[in-house]
Formats: sequence, structure tokens, C-alpha cells
Amino acid sequence: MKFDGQARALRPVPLVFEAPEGSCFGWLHPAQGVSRSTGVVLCRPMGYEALCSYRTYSLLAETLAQAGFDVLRFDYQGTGDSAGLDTDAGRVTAWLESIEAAVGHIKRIAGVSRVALFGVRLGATLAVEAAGRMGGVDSLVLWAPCVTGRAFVREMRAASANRSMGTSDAGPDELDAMGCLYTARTLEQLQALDCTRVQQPPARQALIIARDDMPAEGPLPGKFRELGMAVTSANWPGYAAMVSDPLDAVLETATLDAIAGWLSATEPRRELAPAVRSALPALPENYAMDGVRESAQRFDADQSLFGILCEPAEGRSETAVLMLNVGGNYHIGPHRMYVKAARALAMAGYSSLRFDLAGIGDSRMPAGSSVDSMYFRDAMPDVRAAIDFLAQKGYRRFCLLGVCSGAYVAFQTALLDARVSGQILMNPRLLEWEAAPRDGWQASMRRHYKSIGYYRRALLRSNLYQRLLRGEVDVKGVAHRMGMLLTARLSRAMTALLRRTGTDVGVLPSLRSLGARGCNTLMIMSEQDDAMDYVEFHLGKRGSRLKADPNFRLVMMEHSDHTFSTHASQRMVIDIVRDHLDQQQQPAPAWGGIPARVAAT
Amino acid sequence: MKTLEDFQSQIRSVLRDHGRLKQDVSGLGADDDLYQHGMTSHASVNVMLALEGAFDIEFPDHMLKRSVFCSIAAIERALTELTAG
Repeated sequence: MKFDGQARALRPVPLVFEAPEGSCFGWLHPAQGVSRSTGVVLCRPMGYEALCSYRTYSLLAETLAQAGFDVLRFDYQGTGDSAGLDTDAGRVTAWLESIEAAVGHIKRIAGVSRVALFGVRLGATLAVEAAGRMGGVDSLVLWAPCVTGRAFVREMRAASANRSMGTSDAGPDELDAMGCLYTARTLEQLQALDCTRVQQPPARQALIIARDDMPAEGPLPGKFRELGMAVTSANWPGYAAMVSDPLDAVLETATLDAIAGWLSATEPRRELAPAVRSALPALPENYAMDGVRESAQRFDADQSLFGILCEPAEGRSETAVLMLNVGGNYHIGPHRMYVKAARALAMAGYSSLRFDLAGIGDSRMPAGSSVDSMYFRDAMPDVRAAIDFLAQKGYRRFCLLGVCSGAYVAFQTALLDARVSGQILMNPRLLEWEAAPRDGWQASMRRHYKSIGYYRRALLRSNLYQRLLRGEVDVKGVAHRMGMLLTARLSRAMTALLRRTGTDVGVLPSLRSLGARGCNTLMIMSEQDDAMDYVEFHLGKRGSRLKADPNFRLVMMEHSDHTFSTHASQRMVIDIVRDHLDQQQQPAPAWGGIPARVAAT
Repeated sequence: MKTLEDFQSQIRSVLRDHGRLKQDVSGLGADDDLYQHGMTSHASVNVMLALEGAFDIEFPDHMLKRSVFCSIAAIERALTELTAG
């Protein structure tokens, strides 16, 4: 569908377009007011950096649209909400072809004649490579570019080696780093990328913004000038904060404005009065992704919450799984786990809605809000709005799934809404939040350690003593956590003694009341994660206080980290969730069939 | 020629700027575990890059491992090896 500019505020529109190796998901931000003749395609970095920079990309797209550019931000094939997996062969080819497809798509739907490419880190590297291959790109905006693919691979190799937990099943020639698995072929292709080897100017002009945490011009500006390009080098702030953490990502709006200013300086608005823009593309529905059906959905009273409904290609059960944000991670979940889980569950007959709470990802940004801690925000009404939406679609059973803070939102919503028939809580570090906390958990869990159980088991290994002697263990911090745990236990015992009865508030009685209501709970816990301390404090060793409850199950996973960052641990989680849903479909609870390498209690 | 004090001072400076540690680096001992003090794998990559810039070296692939970046002393040992000769 093609349309021209018109002076009215236009909302960004999700869309799907085809690339050679599969469908790509993206968002068009239509130019506001009188449009320019240039469309801007935003090329994402990879893995963790893509997750952290998501809001920056969205805001940049809005900023550029306000300045009169049509903007397309999208996920490469095999990433984000697009089709495919990082384990598919030869990803670099797929990423480059995705950029080319995105360029073709924005030219078609926005009617722009010129194109600029923007990229951060490896996104910048790919933008240069794609521009060189395609030709005809007018401008390049490269923010903290990886000059070579080799440099990127070194960083990923270091990140992988420095991972604290999480067993990887990557082969000897593969790399499992920062939430992505790079196959041997992909690594080979990455090693061949080199922005300094371009022989022809990849664009007419380039803006190169250095990293603000390690300012250095690097070889690119000189190389591009040699080729006759007009080059602007800038040291603008924003990179380090943008990629530090999905929750803490700080948007440097001055830099985004400066980027828009640089592009605007050479891209005049169209002189002719714009034609009335025809209707924007409708929300894409029932498009095929990896053998299942997906639909982009807006819901809530003002259609301001966004999610993706994933359904089996044919038929469906009455169960819908709602996947809840983890901290500031948008709806693809930590390391894209929700996308992989959603499609695997749909292949097994279960539908899911992965969506963004207000203030996160593609849902509304309440005025003056930032990505606050999920514990402070009142997220439960958003989840209930999602249940309303799914109920209208005909679903009858609602299972809430969340990791860490997402588990908190799931648990609190289940307590509020009797329609919730099940919850899957993974590594919850807190399930209750109090303005005036009764114990030290809220303060203590702000710091991450390994579980006390891990340290106890480690005492049996001689290398811990060697590390203790070398001072390599944060003895003070671990001791503080142990002290807090002891104090909390004493406090609870004293309270029970004085009352001569157990308390009727708290995590344990709440879970019991949910079970009595028929709402089942599956907890998936990483054995070494300190969320185990919190859970075992409330529920006893490996959930023993709920052992008799047929609606409660706790599954332990060995060698996985807090957010299941490795390919192997994600696959295991998905298997456990699918088995759990299968068992819920049976007339009577029949637990069993827990995958190997997982200890069940 | 750099002295051991120079090394430690520069390493601490890099850690202050890039390590995302939960406490001030001046309070850390040479053998304290940096990961235990909050350095993430993402931050450790930035530490590696900043050290390469500060010391004009490149960590070879066999040194891209957790034990090389786990403490100030371990980093110092690696840098000593890389800058010798």
C-alpha cells in the first residue's frame, strides 16, 4: 500500500514484509506534516544491545518522523518478532537481505525516492555493508560502529567466556553469547565484514558518532573521506547509557535531535503540497511465522497496549498463555525467549500473547513515566486488560508466565483476578512488595548473589577455600545475605509464637488460596540463582511446604542463570512449560515426565 | 617503563569508568572478585576494550576468559605478560 504525506499526527504502524529467507516484522513511523523525500531505515545491533537500545530506536523513529522522515524500524530475519532462529545457517546473509528488503519496502509504501540507513554497533557495520551492496543509499548514520566483524566476534567471545552461569550446548565452532547463538557459518561471515575494505563510497554522506565511553575517531571517517564522501564525526553522548541495561537505558534526546538535525540539513521537505495520505496499513493479522499464525494487536480501552498473539496454524485449545515483561525487556522476552516459547507452544496447540505493559516497549508511555521498577508500578490492570482482550477472542483459560519481576506481576494478578487458571513463575526474587517492608528481603534482593544453597555446596569443594584465601569471594556481602535470612526466619518464628498460629498473609498462604481456587502454579527455579533463597524462605526446601498441594509444582534447573540466557537453558524451559500445559489438559493432575537434567520436587 | 603501581592505578581507573561495580573501586583489594562486586559479562567486555585502548595491546583469543578479568591482580598478570618484551 502506498501513501503520501499529510499534516496530521499518525501513529506508528506495525507491519510485516518479506525477505528472501522469511518474513520480517517492523514498524513504520509515518512522516508527520510535510514529508521529505527520504525514508530512514533503522538497523538494530545484536542480542543484548538490541534489547537495551529498543526504546532509543523507538524514540529516534518518532523524532525523525516529527522532522518529516518516513521511518522503518524492523527486526532482521531470525531476530526479534521476525521469522527464523539465530541457529539458522549463515545469518549475516539473512541480516543483509533483511536490510535490502526493508529499503525496498519503505520505498514502496512511503513513496520515498531516497534512503538513509541508521545503525548502532553491528547494526552500523551491516548498514555499511548493505549500502555498499545495494548502492543508491544517500546517507549513513553510524553510532559506535563495529569497524570490523572480527572486533564484534572478539567481544562476543569475551562476553561468552565471562558468563557466570548457564551451560551452553554450543558446538566447538559456535558461540553462545549475550543471548544469541552464532553458528560456525555465521561467525565465518561475521569475520569477513570490514567497513574499511569498501572500494566504492557506500553513500553520499555519513555521520559517525563515537562511543561516549571510549571516544576515539577510529579509521572509518578517514577511509570514507578518501572515497570522496562527506563525513561528519561527532562525539555526542548517549551510547553507554543506551546499552547498559534494558531497565536503566537512558534516552539521550539531545543526541537524537542532533541526528534528526544532521539529516534534515541536507534533505529538504517536499515543495509540493502533499496529497492526502490514504489509510495507513492495517494491523497485520494471521501472518505466518515459523509455521504458526501471528497477529499484531492493540488492546485496552484506548488501544494503547500492544502485543503479538501467536496461535497454532490450525485449531487451538482454550488456553492462552500471557507472557509478561521482565524488567525493562520488551515483549520478545529476555534473550528472545518469549518469541521462541510462543512459537513452540503454538506448534503444540497453545496460543499466547506476548505484550508490553504500559511504559515498556511498544505500549503507551504514560506522561512523565520512565521505565520504573515493575515492583513500584501498578501493572496488574494492564494484565487484566490483556485477559479481557483474549476472552473476547474466545479463550477461556489464562496462564500467566513471567521471569523475575514478570513472576511478581503474574502472582499479584492471579490473586486479583479469578479468571487466571494457572501461573508459571520463573526465578521470582520477590512476590510481594510493601511500602513498609516487614523484613529485609526487599532491600537485600537489590543485590545479586548466588543462592545460599550454592555457597553451602561450594563449601564441600576445595577451590572455594582457595578463592576465600585469595579474597575472591564477597564474604561480607554473602554474610550479610545469610544474616538477613536468619533475621527474617527469627522474626517469622517470633510472630508465629506470639500469635500462637501461622500468619494468614504472605506468599505461602496466598499460594495455598490460589491452589484451593483451582489456579495451578509451576515454579521454575535456577538452582544457583539467589531467587532460591527467597522461595525456600517462604515455601520451604524445594517448596516442601506445598508438597501436598496438587496445584503446586516446583522444578529446579541446573546450570542456568537468572534469565536463562543460553540456548540450552531456554530450550529446557520451553520443554518444561509445554509438558506442564499438556498435563493441565488432562482430566486429573498427573505429574511426571520432567525432562532429564532437571530435578523435580 | 610502567611500574606495578602504574598498572594498578590504570586498571582501577578503567574499572571505575567501565566496570559498573557496586562499590567504589578504591575499596577493592587486588584479589577481590570483580564479578561478585557487580561486573556483568557486558561490562567485562567494555573493561577489556578500555584496557586495550589504555595499554595499546590486544588480548589474544586464549586470554578471552573469565579468569583473566576476574580481579585486579589477574588483569595485572595478563597485562604484564602482554607488555613484556
